[in-house]
Amino acid sequence: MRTLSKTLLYILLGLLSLIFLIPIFYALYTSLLPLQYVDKIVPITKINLNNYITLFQKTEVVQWFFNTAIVTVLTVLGNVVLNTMAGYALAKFNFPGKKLIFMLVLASMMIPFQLIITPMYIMIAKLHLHNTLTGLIVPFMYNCLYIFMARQFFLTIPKEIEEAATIDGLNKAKTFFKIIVPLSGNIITTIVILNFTSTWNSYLVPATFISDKSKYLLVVGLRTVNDQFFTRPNLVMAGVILTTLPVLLLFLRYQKYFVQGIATTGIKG
Amino acid sequence: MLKSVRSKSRSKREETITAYLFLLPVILLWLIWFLIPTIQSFVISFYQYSFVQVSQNHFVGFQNFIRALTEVDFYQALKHTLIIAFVAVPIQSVIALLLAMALNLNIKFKGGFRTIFYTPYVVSSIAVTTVFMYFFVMGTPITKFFSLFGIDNTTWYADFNLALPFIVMIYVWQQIGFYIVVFLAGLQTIPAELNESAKVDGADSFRRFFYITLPMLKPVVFLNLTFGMIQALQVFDQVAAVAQNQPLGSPAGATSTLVSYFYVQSFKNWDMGYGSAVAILLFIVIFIITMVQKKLLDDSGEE
Amino acid sequence: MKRFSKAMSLLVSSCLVVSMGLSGCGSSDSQQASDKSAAATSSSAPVKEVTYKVGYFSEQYTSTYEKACEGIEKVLPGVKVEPMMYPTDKDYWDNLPAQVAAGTAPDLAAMTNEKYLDFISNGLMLPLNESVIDLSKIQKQAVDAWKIDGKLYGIPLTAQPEAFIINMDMWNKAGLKELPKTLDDVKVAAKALTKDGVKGICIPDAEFHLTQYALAFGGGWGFGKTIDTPQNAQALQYLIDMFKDGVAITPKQAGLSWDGEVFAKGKCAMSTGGTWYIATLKEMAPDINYKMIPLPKGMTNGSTLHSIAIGVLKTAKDAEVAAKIAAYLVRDEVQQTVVKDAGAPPSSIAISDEYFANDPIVKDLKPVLAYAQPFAYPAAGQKFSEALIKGFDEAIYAKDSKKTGADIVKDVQALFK
Repeated sequence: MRTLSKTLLYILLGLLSLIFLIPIFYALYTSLLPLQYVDKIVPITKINLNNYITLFQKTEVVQWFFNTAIVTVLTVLGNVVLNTMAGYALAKFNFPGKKLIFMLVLASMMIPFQLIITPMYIMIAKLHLHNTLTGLIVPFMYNCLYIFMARQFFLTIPKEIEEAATIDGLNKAKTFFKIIVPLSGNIITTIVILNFTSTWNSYLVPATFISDKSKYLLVVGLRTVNDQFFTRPNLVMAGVILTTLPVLLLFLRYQKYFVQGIATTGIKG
Repeated sequence: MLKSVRSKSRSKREETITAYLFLLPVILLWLIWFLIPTIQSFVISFYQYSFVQVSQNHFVGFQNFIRALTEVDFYQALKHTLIIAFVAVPIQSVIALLLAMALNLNIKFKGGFRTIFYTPYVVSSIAVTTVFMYFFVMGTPITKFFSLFGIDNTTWYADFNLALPFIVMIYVWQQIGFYIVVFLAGLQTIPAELNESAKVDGADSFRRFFYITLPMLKPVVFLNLTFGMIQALQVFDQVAAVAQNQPLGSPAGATSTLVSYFYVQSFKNWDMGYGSAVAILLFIVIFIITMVQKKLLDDSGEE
Repeated sequence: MKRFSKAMSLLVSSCLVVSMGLSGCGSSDSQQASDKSAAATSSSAPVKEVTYKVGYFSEQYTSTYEKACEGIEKVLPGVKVEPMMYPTDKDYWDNLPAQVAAGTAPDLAAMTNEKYLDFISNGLMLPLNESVIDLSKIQKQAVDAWKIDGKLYGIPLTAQPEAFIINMDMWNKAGLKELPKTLDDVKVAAKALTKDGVKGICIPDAEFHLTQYALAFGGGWGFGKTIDTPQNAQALQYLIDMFKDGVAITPKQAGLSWDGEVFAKGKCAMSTGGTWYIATLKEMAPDINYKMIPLPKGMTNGSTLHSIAIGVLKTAKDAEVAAKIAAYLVRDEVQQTVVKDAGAPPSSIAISDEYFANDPIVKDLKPVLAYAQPFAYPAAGQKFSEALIKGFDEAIYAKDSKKTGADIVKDVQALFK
């Protein structure tokens, strides 16, 4: 009975995995095909890496990759530092205006981003930050969602830890950096993975703020393989695979901390 | 005694200063890059406003809001937005919870399954939609399969009635991994002893789920529903991908959402004032739904 | 794990260094430029170099615009021109207005005569001094398309007639002989050609294609004044009927992004299109045997004149200089590149004649130029196309829709009174 139900469970999970994997395999398969074979099943001999080679030869994919890496790493860095600090203040300090700030954090999550992109662009342009990677990084170094999550995480850290630190003569700031941060691997991983994913895949902002081809990010640049009158699904899919790989590797490497991180964040209302 | 009061107030002041120092960078960034543009957009929503002909912009009071509330297309977009949210969020939450419970059992390849289910979440939504669009074209095995259930063998995203379900489907497929991870995390915080002792008391698995697991998971359920709603009410990428070179919301507005409607008005028709009014109405919708959810789910009375 | 985190930290620190360099660049760029110009003034040549940018989209035209920008300093000393590509046409049209508002738009832009009225009526494009170019050497229809209220707003680079494309393998296989002369012939042929999963005709639900049929029925949009006319209603009804008969398909229904792909994949036997098909078919379906002919007659001969032109935007540093640059960018040499690299019909009368004479695929299209007309969409072109497509989609995508061509033109006209 037990083994039977377990076998059934494996079969079910296996089938579901197929639903999740087939589109990804299809993308991989298409990325290996010459254009005229797209949508067709071909013998393995027709498969090759030419699309990837084309991307590397005909586009500035390496440059775009570096741009994306710089923007993503710095944005994530900012988000980790600033959001955890803010989240900690909202969780553990008592000060006038705390409630108001927390309400504003929540409300900010509900404003559709598209609403502010044009005023934002005009400000960026006035500050001459358009067409710079700085313009893609600085305004996005914080995120109210992550502040919210960080706050929830720090609420779960027992008071006693901080009290002990105070007795040892550490002030509040030192307590955070010396004692709390080393305990916060989980929330940091969570912010890193979520923020990395969204920054790496972002399109609207880089496509609006950047007009210089050499400063494109990967997702934007790879769009240029489709001409107005020419779609190349095989090249597009090669681009998708190239773009997805780094994020997937990051998740694979750190997923354990990620799950634990989430476990300690949203859970305490 | 006086001394200790004074030192207390001093430490109080120190705490306030430290708190604001910790918050300072975020507050500055937020003021410049969020509050100012938001206020600008808010003000714009009371104007007949175009970025391209600044000289003709003028104050119109609530006219943009009234126009939205009397326009058929606005209600169509609102309807689709609510449908997506109220169909996608329950489906993704229930399936995610079931899968998370399965993955929380003592089974092999746990990590492998988890990774597989999470993978779509790291791919860009436009790319995901593009791939799915290859699958749901008239005559492919998938549409043939669905035609066994009485659904027309047609190109789903080009069909008036199937385009919206198509978007909901992709949306759930892509988002579910995230919610699985969140539920899984929540399940891991439930002490195993609780279940064990209930088992000893003779509670069957059905009862254990409703009397132990679900109540213990309440905060996670709250997080998933709230966050899920906020996200689902702002669906845009999938709609944009499905439209291809055609007007957003294609075919014939069958997939228009409030965000896509806002986008068309602001960036295609250059009617920034009206577009901003629509976005503010969307904000109000999200706000109300979130508050109602909070009231319904959160009886502890605290934040 | 350790190695990974080491690598990660190395990456982070190196990125930090690079980004500092970058953000440094952002602010020092202008400084460097002024340094350079200071150096230049102190030396013998007192010319300050000014860079103008030309916006465009579609990789297909990159070589053309790169070529076009070469050698400008010989004609206009001290001027430099650089092409500025946008990732997609969507980004181009959506971002240009905000960029003009923010002052970050290019000085010049490659525009088409489809939705240009939005830009012109809002003052985003500036009228040009006609003396910068000899207009008599350019196709008259293209010049007319770019003249609004007597003022010239763009210098045409291409002058493109529309075409009707037929897959001859399918045509012959279906036992059809003479090529269609009228749209009634097309309807009959579409029925005969529909079989084995192939539809007779691809009718994209896009304003460009619908306009061709409207013109062939003697209609047209008249810049918004003549939308609700029996001719337009009849044209749309003609198309809707073909969908009802099951002989037509849209690119969307075929799961493809545009009609050329539908044709290349052999999912339709006929389609409206243009010379841009040639390059696509060469790469995607080199074996297809096809013909390009003028769109068969409805009530009359109908075709639009599509023209890419270089216009001057409000953001131009010096409108007079920019107009001269625009004229330079469409010189003969560039038009030859347009023919060679992008396969588009040039605007120069002489080169155009050569183009139609030398390429056997397009030779039948030359007479179309004589009767090709501007698109004549209303000034709010985007709003118009949205409404038109929405109405048409409701008629063809919703099952059992009762919507007629007459209903559509009436609804759309109501928006443009």
